[in-house]
Amino acid sequence: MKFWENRRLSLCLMIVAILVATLFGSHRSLAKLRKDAVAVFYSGATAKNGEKEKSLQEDLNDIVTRTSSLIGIAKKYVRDTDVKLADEVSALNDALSSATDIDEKYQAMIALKAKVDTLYYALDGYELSDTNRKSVSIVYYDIQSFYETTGHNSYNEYADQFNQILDKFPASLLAKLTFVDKAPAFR
Amino acid sequence: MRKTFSKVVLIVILLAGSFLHVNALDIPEADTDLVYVQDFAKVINDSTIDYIVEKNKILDEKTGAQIVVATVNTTGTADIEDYAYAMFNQYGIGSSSKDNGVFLLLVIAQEDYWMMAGSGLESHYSGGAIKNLLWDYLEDDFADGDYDAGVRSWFDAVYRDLSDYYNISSSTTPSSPMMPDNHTDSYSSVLGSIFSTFLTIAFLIIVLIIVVSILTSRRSTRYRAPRYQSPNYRVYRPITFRTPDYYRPRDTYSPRPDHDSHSSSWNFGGGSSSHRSSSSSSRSSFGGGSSSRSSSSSSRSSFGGGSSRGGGAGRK
Repeated sequence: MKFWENRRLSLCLMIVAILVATLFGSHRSLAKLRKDAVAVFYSGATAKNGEKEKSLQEDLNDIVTRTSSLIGIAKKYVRDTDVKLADEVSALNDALSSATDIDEKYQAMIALKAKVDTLYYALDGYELSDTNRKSVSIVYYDIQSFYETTGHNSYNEYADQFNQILDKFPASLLAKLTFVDKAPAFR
Repeated sequence: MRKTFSKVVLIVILLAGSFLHVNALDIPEADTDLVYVQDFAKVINDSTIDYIVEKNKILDEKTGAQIVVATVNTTGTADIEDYAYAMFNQYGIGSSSKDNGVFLLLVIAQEDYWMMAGSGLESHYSGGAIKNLLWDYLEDDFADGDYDAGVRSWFDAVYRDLSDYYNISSSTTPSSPMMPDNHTDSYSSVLGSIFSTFLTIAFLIIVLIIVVSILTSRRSTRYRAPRYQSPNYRVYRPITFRTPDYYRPRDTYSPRPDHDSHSSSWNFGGGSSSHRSSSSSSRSSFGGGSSSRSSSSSSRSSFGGGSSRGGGAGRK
């Protein structure tokens, strides 16, 4: 019983309990804020009028789908070195499709964009049927449009807002102590 | 001393940078008289502006969609995509709830253009579809420097497309004074007026025939009447038979029913028009005097408040 009557020990226990509770609570709230910000990437933000914004992930899915169509048409025509180019586009498209991290997705998208441009202009040198030429044009500009919209998606604003919170004291300290990372920006 | 100098240089650079940034997206204020055409570069004819405004009013009223054309000389240091995106969202093109605006920006000095649609029409106007529209209906005239013809052609294509998309009947065309002054339309209007005159004359002839036939039949009845006059013998009438009331002289003329109370409930124009004006005024946000171009309509138009996600296509 003397163990419980030790004032110094009880004070230490109380301090530890407060610290643990603070860290646990901070981790939970910061992790939830981060989760909410990152969720915008996958499910899109909801506007004040209730309208749902198309998410970045949906735009990326559209890019993958359209690129697959472009590759499908290209592979009917390309020869020599351009076969390798089409394969590279295909590999990058798979990489974007399978990327799990937001940073990884962004890098994969940028790499794919450059190769898609190269493939599109390479197709100018081939005699495509009218239908395929038109399809290639539509698919390519669809892809360009999706790239464009990713730059205006509100996800980065949510990520920036969360990161600004983490930059300020005491959240900056608590985030480091509780291992909460900044939300990755898609840029 | 060196530190102070470097600080001053840093501040100057930051200020210059912020100034450049502001200038980069210096979107001009919208012309509130002509919501649908923001012709800052002055390359579109008045007749085309009238045409676009009138057709837009129909589209806007029925669907909330707006087809807005803007022209500027330059976008400064900004990319045309960013400039168009900022313009679209600053003006709020299309319905705020449907986000169904369509926007075309012509940048004359840079020989470039950009078209984009609100997120509500994104599935309909994908990048590829936009590129095709621009290529098919704008590019040739734009390359020739005939911006007016290009805008007109592009606008007609988009209007047709949206009319089909929203299933608007083709009968809802603007009134004839606002129609374009081209030969086809004037020819069809002449044909239309001849046809309507012919119909009127035919109708009058039919009415005349009916009237004449009625009068003729009455005359013949009167003429035949003596043949059917009552027999020349007395008809027995019982005493109880009374002379019909309508043979009695009326003692007094009762006053006609009072229509004042009736007419008070017949509020021509009052209730309904005020209701209309209130509903239309909710759409109008710009004040000031009425424009000569919009004088044909009592209600003035305004941007709806739509927004775009920025996907579009341009010339290059």
